[in-house]
Amino acid sequence: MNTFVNKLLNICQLEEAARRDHWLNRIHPLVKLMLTIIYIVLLTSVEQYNLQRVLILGIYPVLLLVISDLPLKMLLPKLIVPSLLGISLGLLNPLLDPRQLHIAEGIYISAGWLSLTTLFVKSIWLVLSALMLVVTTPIEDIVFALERLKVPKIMCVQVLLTFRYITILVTETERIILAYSMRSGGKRSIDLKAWGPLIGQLFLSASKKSVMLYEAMKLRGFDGQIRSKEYKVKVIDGIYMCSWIVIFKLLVGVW
Amino acid sequence: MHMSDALITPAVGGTFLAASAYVINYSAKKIESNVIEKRVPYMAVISAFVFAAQMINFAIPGTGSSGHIGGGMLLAILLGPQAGFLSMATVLLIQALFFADGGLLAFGCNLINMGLFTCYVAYPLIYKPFSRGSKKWLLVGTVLATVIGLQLGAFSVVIQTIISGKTALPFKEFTLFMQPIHLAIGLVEGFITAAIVGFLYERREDLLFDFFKNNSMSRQLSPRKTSIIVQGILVITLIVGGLFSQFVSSDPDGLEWSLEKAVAQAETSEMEESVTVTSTIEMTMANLQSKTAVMPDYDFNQSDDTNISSNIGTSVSGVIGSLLVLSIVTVFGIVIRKIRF
Amino acid sequence: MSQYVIDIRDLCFEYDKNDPLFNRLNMAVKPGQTIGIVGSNGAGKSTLLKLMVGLESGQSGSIMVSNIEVAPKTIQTVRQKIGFAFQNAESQLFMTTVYEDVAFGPRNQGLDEEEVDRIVKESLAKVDAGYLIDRPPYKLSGGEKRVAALATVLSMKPDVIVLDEPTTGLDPRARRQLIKLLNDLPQTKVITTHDMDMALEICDEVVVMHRGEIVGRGKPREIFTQLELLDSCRLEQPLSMQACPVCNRLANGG
Repeated sequence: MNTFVNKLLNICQLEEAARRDHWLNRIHPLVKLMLTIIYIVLLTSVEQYNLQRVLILGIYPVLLLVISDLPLKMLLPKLIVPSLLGISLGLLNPLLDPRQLHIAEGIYISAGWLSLTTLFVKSIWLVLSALMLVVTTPIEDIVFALERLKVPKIMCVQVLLTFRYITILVTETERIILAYSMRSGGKRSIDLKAWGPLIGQLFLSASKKSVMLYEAMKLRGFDGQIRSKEYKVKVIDGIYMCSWIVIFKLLVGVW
Repeated sequence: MHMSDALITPAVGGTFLAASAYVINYSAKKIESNVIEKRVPYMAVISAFVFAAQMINFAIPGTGSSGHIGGGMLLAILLGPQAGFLSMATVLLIQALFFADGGLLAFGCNLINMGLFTCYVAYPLIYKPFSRGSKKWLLVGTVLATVIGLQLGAFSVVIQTIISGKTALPFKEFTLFMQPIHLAIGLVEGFITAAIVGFLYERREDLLFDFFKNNSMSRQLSPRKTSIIVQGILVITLIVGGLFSQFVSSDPDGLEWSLEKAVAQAETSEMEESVTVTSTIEMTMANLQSKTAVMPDYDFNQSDDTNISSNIGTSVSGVIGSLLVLSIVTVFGIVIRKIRF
Repeated sequence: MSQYVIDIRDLCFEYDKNDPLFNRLNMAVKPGQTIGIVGSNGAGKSTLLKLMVGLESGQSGSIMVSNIEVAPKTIQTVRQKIGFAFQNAESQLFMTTVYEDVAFGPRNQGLDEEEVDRIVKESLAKVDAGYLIDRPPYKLSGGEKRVAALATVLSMKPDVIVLDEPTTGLDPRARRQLIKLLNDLPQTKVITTHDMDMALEICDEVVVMHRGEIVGRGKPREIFTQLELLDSCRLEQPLSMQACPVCNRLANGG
């Protein structure tokens, strides 16, 4: 599988989804970002054997997933592998924690397996909640929300420009690797002799692009600041936020 | 080495987020305003370059396998510590958002692990002194700085994971597992980074941060300044960590458990000492837990012959109930998604 | 007050002390004119454009744009008067959507968001590219990038547009569309190009450069019939003026 193409495709799919005309995409970006953060904090607070609470907290990402009406085919691959990788350090739990837990009349389960299962479900919900943020919020909206959270402006600018240039640099890197591969008998791993020159050339090309970028920005009045559009808070944003807060409180307080 | 949210607690995540926020703000302020215009596009393109370069496989001679760069050290060498740190933050954020490579809560952990130790520790304290020598010493310094930066980052991962207690990994064994692996990874990354630095040293040494003309920023970051940053981080960590632990259940069961296991496996007299230490820690954590437990623990179908602490909070009926509610909510979602707001 | 919108007098410039590029170059452009600058690679065409917008500096002599001298102190004002479309359109699209790119300039001018929105839509309409408004740049074809880049220039409402080899890399349809677009724009235009047919079609005057000197200037047909001049500058006639090798007749009925 071509890593470069996959990475770009991934970004393209997510961004396209984020730019659809859907009511979720129109919710104020700061509301969506804050809810995601609150959710992550709630979920990561759950104790390691409390599978039922972890399961019920899946309401947030699952409901968003369903309402967003996005194809599962697109989202599932982005979910499974990261979720598994995210719990890699916990994979030894069943071996290291063989204690038996009593969970129902006559039913015992290994503590290690329970904690691993809880971890896995948690991981899926966490990855899904972040994914839902990204598929309903274009990158410039996310950056706007970060600015409101007092992230320094220079970093916000960086995120936007870097994001844009990733598509250019990744495409260029793919071309360089392909050219290398065609002249090295099909190898895509770079030999020792070529480490420096190959990536050095890529870097020099990147530097030249940065000069052109600087020139393009200066010609359009860039003075170190990037000004973004304002987002007005609407009634639906308030309703959306409050609804989820109430649901979270119920889930945590009652379940 | 990216940490995911599943493996940390809010206390750990929040503390490191606060620490990284401090360093981000510090870095942003230190990038001199009169060079911001020129730096901004350059930093962005170099961040994108590192992102792309991370995807390249570098064949390791004689092993049949390949390695990748992480990029923290390379960013520091190309951009300087402040801009390098911000660029690392940018790359990590994009990875977390678009590739679920590292979680959002764990962003601070990842940035400290992969950005702080490279840009603010290894770069000024190891790379810079070596870089004043000949090309040979420059390359040696690059490799050494990369390795040490990675070692510190890997150890930080161990600490964060153990304190969070979401895994069953015992501290000693985990450390003994992580450090050698990251030594190997660090050597590979170090050599790749050195290859790039060597190439640029020959062709375009002006693009190495240290060789920038009017390079006032590299003169600014002395070991003294580094220690100020590190002290600042420690203070923030203590304050926020303390605050957080008051409001969020920090799951000491996990830590307690891993300490128990580590102790249970040991049979030597050396471990007896650690038992004493462990008991003290256990007592402290137990006290902390009783003071800070926010959510009541349920106790389902408890029978007397259970052989561990009863407060696991899970039962078959509970799990079935959760799945049922989740299904109902999913159906509800399918119904309302057809509504156009 | 000069009658010219671009007035270059006694321009001297060098990249390398031992190898000066421009030596007392003079060129003037009247408002509303479309000037094509042709010449082989290394003739100094792109450098001349960059000097006009202050992307290169260190020249002596004077460059006036809309009666403002191009100098470090005035450069911000100059850049509001003269828009530059790069040869590589991708370099000009650095935001995450076309809307954000086109809005970049007006926002830096301090306009409020409603006005910015209006200008963005107007600029995209001028280049028939309203449908690109929410597209990310990586989803654009070569021709679409070119028109989007042009829209980013137009949104600054310049008096003069300079374009560096605008038809490079475009397919025939996109090229045709761009030529029509350029023809319809009322601004003064200075276009460097290797596309002789485009120069023949839309330029009021053609300037021939060779090794930093202007060696010819006149109406396109006049210039493109001077075969010796073209040959000495490593140039060729537009294809539409060349004899057909099969029937030995000129393509447009000559």
